[in-house]
Amino acid sequence: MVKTFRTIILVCVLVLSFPIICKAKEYSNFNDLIENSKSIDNIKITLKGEAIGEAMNRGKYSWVNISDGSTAMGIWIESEQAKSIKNFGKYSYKGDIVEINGTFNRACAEHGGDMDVHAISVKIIDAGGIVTIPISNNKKNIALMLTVITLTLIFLYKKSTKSTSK
Amino acid sequence: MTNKRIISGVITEISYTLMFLFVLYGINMILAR
Amino acid sequence: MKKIIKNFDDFKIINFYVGNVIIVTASMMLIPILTSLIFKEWSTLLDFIISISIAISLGIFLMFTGRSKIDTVKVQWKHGLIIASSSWLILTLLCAVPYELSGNTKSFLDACFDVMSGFTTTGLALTQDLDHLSLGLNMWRHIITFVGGQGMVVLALSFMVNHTLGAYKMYVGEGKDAELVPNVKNTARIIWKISIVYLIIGTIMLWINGMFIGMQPVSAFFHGLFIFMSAWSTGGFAPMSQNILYYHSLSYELLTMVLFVIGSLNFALHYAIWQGNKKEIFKNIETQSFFITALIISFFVALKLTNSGVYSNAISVFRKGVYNVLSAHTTTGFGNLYARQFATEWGDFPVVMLIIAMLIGGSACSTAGGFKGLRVGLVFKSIVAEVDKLLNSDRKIRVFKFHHIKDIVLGDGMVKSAYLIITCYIILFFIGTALGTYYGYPVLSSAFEAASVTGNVGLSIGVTAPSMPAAMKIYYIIAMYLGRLEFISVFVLIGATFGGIKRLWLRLLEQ
Repeated sequence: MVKTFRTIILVCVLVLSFPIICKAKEYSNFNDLIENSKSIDNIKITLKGEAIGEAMNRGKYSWVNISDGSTAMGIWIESEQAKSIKNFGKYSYKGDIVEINGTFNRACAEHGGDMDVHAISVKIIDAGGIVTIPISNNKKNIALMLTVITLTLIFLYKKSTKSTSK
Repeated sequence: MTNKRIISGVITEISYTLMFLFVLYGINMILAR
Repeated sequence: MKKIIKNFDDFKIINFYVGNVIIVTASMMLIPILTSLIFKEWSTLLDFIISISIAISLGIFLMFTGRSKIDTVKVQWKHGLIIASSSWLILTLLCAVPYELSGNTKSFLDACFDVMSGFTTTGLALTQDLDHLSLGLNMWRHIITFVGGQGMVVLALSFMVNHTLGAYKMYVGEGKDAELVPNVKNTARIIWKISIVYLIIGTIMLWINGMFIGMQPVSAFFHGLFIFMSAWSTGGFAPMSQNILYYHSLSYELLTMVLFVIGSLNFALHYAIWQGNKKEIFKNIETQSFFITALIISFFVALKLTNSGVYSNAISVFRKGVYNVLSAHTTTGFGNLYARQFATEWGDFPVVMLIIAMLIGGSACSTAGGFKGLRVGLVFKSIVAEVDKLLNSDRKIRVFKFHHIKDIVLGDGMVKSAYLIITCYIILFFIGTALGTYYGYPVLSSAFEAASVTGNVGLSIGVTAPSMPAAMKIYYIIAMYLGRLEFISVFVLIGATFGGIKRLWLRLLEQ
């Protein structure tokens, strides 16, 4: 009797959890969002990307743009939640990888038709930080050599113009 | 060109452009009624 | 033998001035060098040091070969055209070096594409990972479009003052421009003055607005500077991959609209207004033409977008519809939509309207592209004049005039040249469209991208990408170049090159 009960409860849990898992489809390629914008309009989705640029505080809410590597999407987050994002991507910096759960808008009426996501929850998956850009020794040597050549040429040219104008 | 002319020229251009944009916005307001 | 030497003299003169132009332009690389130095972007710094060295060395070498002749050979109009068009080609290669060294472009061809896009103030980009681009390289991209835009107008004035085709004769007014200034050097100086004044005012306004919408002071400044340079030159480059959408701000979009509309105006118009002649804004055929076409196209786009439910409120239609129409019409290329949205959401009619707006373009003697409002106005007036002639008796001949700074009679010569250049643009557009469809892109998308390229606009419907066939990239580069130089100087360059080679060969055979 107890065993049957347990099985029924287990089955119920599994069956009920399925739609919840299916609903929050996770997007890591934002082109899918753009191509299917009409079908996912106003639907809750999850997306993951690197925070880039900076958080733009507009009062109670802020804008944070996150990138999937090639395309970036605007996220409208509560400023308090935005504060948890410490690193933003730019040159030689990798931004925090965040996972956003929120409502997708194809042409947000509140934001003048922008395609955006109004975030409900923000989770930092991976912290960002400084990225060192390696410079090959070849590059340093070539740069030095070329500078010397150029300066020499400039000097020679100036000398020849002075001698002809004499 | 004196500074006064420059400032007045810039203000003229910006204001006429804003008026032009306002006209276009007005059309929108009427259409999107 | 004397004639061969004379040909070489021509060659030497051209070399000297081309070398000169190269050195002046390459010196602009000092600005990104300084930027990278301040922000400790060491890799970028080296990239630019290498690039500037190569360019200046080449420039000096060219000047060496021609230096002896600058006093003896007179620079003619044909020299000027060849100098202008060939320096552009060489500079495209030289200015692509920083991109190539940065690793942000997938091929040297892509780098050249971006440079040509910048010089012609088009704005289509193949540079990858804009969101992590160094300040130095971003500075370079935007300088290319700012200097390229102004420089082209100045260059055109310096060398194309006398030629009879196209808008320049209108602007100069039958060879004697009593209205503007008596000589080209002063005109060039005035153009730069106007641009610098707006550079200061525009950057400050964008800087303040940037901080207002939540950006930090330093980034707000650079974004402001870059966006200004791109708006004023009707370029279309932006520091972030989302272009203007990154800012999610009505005020920022409004400011860019004001700046790019003003930036698309004819410099003679700016000068007239700054001299106190405010009525010129209403009387000028180009502003009239632009006002009418912009109004009509915006109206129809707004109507369709509202009716088909693409956008739900007036402000969205304004920010997405009108903004993109004006961006297209002024041939700027700033966008606040993802490229693919034009294809997936707008529907065919608004896309066709944008194509028409892109082809019509902005004003002559400005950084805008397209047919130019002056020609469209002339064509329209000439049709009215023709119909009038047919309807009225032979004795009553009505003289048609138009106003461009001053009243000008509608002559057959200028009408003919307007039709000629427009035809060249249309041919360029159709070839581009056909090429796109050849490679499998849908007709409307091919047409959209071809119009963007032909009119030096910069809006994209998604065709422009690193994966695009090389033939299309090459064609787009050529089309941007031809469109910007308005065909003539490039044709002269080709003609002179082949003519010169043929003559040289014949003379050598005679010997």
